[in-house]
Amino acid sequence: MLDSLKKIPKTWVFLSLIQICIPLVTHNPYYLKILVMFYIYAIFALSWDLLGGYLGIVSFGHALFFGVSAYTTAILNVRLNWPPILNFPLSILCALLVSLIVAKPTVRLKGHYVALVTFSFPVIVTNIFYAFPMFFGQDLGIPGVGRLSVSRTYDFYIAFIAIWCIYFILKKMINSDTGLILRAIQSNEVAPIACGIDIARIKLKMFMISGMFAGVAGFLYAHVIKIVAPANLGVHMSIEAVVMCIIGGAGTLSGAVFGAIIVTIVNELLRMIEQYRILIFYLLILLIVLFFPKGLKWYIDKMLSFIGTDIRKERGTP
Amino acid sequence: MDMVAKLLIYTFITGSIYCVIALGFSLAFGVAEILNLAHGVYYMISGYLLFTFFMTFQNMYIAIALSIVCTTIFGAFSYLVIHNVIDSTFRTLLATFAIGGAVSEILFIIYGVSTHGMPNIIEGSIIIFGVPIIKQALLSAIVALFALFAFVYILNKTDIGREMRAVAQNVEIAKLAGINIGRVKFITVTIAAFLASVAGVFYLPLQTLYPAVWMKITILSFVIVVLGGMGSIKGIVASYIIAFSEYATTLAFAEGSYIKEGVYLLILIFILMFRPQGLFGKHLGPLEVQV
Repeated sequence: MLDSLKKIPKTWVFLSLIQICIPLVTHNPYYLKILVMFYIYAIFALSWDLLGGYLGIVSFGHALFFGVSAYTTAILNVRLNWPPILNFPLSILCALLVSLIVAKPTVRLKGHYVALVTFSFPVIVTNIFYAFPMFFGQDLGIPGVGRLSVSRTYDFYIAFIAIWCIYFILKKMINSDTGLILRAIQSNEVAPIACGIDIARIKLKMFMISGMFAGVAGFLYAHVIKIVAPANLGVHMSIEAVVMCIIGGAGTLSGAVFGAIIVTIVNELLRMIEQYRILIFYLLILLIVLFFPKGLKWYIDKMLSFIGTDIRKERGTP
Repeated sequence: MDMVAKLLIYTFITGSIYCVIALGFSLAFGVAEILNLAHGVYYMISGYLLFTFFMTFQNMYIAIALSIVCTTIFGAFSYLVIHNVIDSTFRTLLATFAIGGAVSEILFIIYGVSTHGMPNIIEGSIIIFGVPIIKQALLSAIVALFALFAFVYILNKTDIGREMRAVAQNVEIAKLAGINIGRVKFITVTIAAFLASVAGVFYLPLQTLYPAVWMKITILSFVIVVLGGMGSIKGIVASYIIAFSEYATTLAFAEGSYIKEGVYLLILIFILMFRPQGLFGKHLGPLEVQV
């Protein structure tokens, strides 16, 4: 028992303690909200990274699961006045169903086609939303979604527990046989097939898990931001997931979280020049893609190595 | 009967425009292996430039010529921006998407939500087979077909066309034959932008233009290209199928105009599930597309 306690990484405990103590130190609702947003984005990034970084399925429509879950809880909350607790399993279920629908054609395709198909699904669903404006609300979506809990502090702890659990689950999964299989599939699909592994089923399972976690992020988002709109399913949101993971390095969990930190900070800083925010965002994406292929974090680590810090193991970037 | 004639003629006109747009996308993919998500941008900026040049010079002909030239230059520029990342599908997709998003935002900042007030080159409408057609629409279809045939001629009869076909078939052998691959890819993307802008300057005065239209056009292009078969010129006829599906959807459903994009995307998904090589594409083996 003491042995397994020793295996818990010290940095993890340290960081967790710091995060738990944050609401005790500051009651500023703005900071707490930023942190909750960061957790939501981090969950979203982690869910993308499972598919994109470890399995090699680069999903350009991940916001679909996020948005469907957000819309489900919003509709149930606003139209039927159901409380968030009740909506949670239903939102996750909807995200799960959608991920199955998306997975069905996607797992058998490769490369360009995966990107196109995953890109298309959110557009189809957005079209459906626009076709029934009474039910889904139009461009402005559904406002007036209820709070997650009675105070920002509770929101914070809920989000923190959520990401902690998800990170833990993913880390366990990556470090087990499943993780090996995932990396094998990414490198060369023929090898696991030859070993008798049913890749289609594994991909489907990973899609489901990824969809569920994205759904968790979407659910939290709906109740924290209190309004959902078609933009939440849109390509901009999906691209944010991709960007977070490439900033941090696609094949690592902590990289996804790091990417989420950077993106949250940059988004908030850019809000000062709201008019140019999205433009600068896209230009930054262009810069990163063109000049930092291994993810920003890799280069930062390399620079830090001159001061004697560990370089993370190099992961494949698609 | 009246309805059928309308449907056929409108399909023909819109389909021809889509042919030219999708042709550019197909080229970029077939020859240069670039899935250019910014393809819709060429079409879109040709419209915005047309508006600006017309406002400045008050002469439609100058405006058209300048728009086409500037858009083509922009196409060349976009290739230069991404030419280092072409090898990686993922990075190309992200980079081209970022270009598209950035241009869209710039246009939004400069122009606001939409533009209006561009006169057509030829005013008025004409009746063919009992169907009223706007003359500008007919003109754009004719120009589109002309551009299409001109391009097919270039592809088959000129040196550069031969080089493009060679690079599309087998890059390594083309290199061995002494073809400058970079140059060919560059010219391909430039031609793609040129074709899209030709379609744009004639057809866009009839449409509502807004900064987000590039995504719709890009989606349209790749649906047509996948349906027709990636890398196949014959496959461009799929544009007529897609144009038809758009009109059919609008007529068949009350909210048709909202879901027509969804409908042809569903078509895309079905094609990729059951016949991924499209209508005329090469038969794709198990390791190329599917597991």
